[in-house]
Amino acid sequence: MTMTSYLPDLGPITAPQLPDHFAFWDYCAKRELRFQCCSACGQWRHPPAPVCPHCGSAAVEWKLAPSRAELFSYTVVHHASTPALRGHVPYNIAIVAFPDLVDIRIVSNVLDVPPQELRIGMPLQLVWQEQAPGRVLPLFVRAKATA
Amino acid sequence: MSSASPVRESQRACIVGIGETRYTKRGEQADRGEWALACEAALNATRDAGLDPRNIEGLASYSGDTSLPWLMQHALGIQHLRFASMVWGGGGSGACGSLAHAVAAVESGQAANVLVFRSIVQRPGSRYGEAGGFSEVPQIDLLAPFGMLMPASMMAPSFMRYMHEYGIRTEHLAEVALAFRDNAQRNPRAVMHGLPLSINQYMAARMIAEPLRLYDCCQENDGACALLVTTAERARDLPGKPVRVLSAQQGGNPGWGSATMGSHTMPAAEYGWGNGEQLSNDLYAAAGVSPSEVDFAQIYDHFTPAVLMSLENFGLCGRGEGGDFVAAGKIRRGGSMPLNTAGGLLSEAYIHGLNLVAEAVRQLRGESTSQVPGARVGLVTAGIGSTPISAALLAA
Repeated sequence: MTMTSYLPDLGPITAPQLPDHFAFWDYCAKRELRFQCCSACGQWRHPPAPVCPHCGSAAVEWKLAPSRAELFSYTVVHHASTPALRGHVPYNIAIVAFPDLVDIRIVSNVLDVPPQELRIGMPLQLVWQEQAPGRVLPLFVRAKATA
Repeated sequence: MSSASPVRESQRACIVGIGETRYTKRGEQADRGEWALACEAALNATRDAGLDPRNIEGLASYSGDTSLPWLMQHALGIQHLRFASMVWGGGGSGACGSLAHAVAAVESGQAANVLVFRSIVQRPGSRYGEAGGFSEVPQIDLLAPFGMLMPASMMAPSFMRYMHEYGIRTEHLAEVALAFRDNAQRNPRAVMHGLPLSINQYMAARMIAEPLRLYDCCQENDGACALLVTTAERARDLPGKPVRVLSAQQGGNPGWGSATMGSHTMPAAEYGWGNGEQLSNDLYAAAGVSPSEVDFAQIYDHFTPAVLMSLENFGLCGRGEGGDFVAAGKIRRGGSMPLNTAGGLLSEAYIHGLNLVAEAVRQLRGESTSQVPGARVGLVTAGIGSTPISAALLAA
């Protein structure tokens, strides 16, 4: 199924610069949301980083994110900060938390909820969208009431 | 008030001069450029201090100031440059951090007279509402694809959560904007002087990134500001009234990343707080004063909710009480905690926060256009949400 992406391709500014981030985006391209998990102490971390902030180990596994997600906070952006966004305001930016993990959140968008219905704490479900060739984004929709 | 510093009293740091250029709207001084503005502010600060600019021995700035040390050494004729530093951090989070560097330099004897400065000419392509100015944020790939591209949208989720947790309302944000604009009406230097703001104008202004309306966001300006820092001993030989730096500190709570990168990692319970609490504790401990001894504050107001969060972080009211505090009129002239008495970054000018330090100095000299009677101790904060932020406590 083809789907118009929520926001358009915003160009080079969106490219990863830190080598630590490359694997994260490579997994996203395969439609897998994975976070780093320390092989030594078992603590999860995100954004990707070269060592574990809990124990200092560089040994890492990339584990699948838990499916349970919720809206931790958000904003609705009305000002188009680049010409590419002009036809797309207002759009939301969501801070998505994973209640099964401690202090791991991602910045994303919620696709199917009008601004006035966004609520902190609302359950969300992961979906994938290709924003540009090779750039597949983890995005969210409202979770079904009886998940 | 007792000093917690091991430095001898004669060697303690003082601000002995302040200097500013004209503050204008963005682009009005582009033909002069940042170097020229930095030099003008520097010369005004040395004149204010009664010092020969050639006797400056140290330079401190922050946030990628383009007036590089060798340019300043050349233009000011500095004879014996012994110290030069640049504080990390975007925006104005380093305003008091650069002061902290100057304090460290003079108190350790590395340099006798240190100039702290910040010069801004807002260039096209680096406007705060424009994407593209964030190539220096190495984790931008986790933000930009989702449309998080400007400071307002980077900070807004934190403000949203804060308002949600503590029942902060739009009216509370409006009170901050209106109070500072009111102060600007008495300050001829303020870019918003002669432009009073009504609650109706505030509410009718366009939304930028919820909960931030236009007047919740700071201005874009051209201008420069400078401070001259030296020791108490040397200050005795100068004509002006020195303002003591009780403490100047940098810091950031654990888990806080650069601005919104903290969205990923900061402790959930702190998400709506900003990250000033640890810094605040260090600041008061080093100064040997308590929040109850603060007579006024100049709070970093890049956005109005940051002011409420900072009031709480720096102990000027209790956690979650920022809204009620401002609604009671306490931050206005004549209130118990007058804030941003020159108009702040929202209404005087956004010189990345260094003009807040200059206004604190004026207050402690008794020279503010919204003078707080008997002002003895003032708090200045710089930034919130990013890491590291900074703050200072100054005393007459």
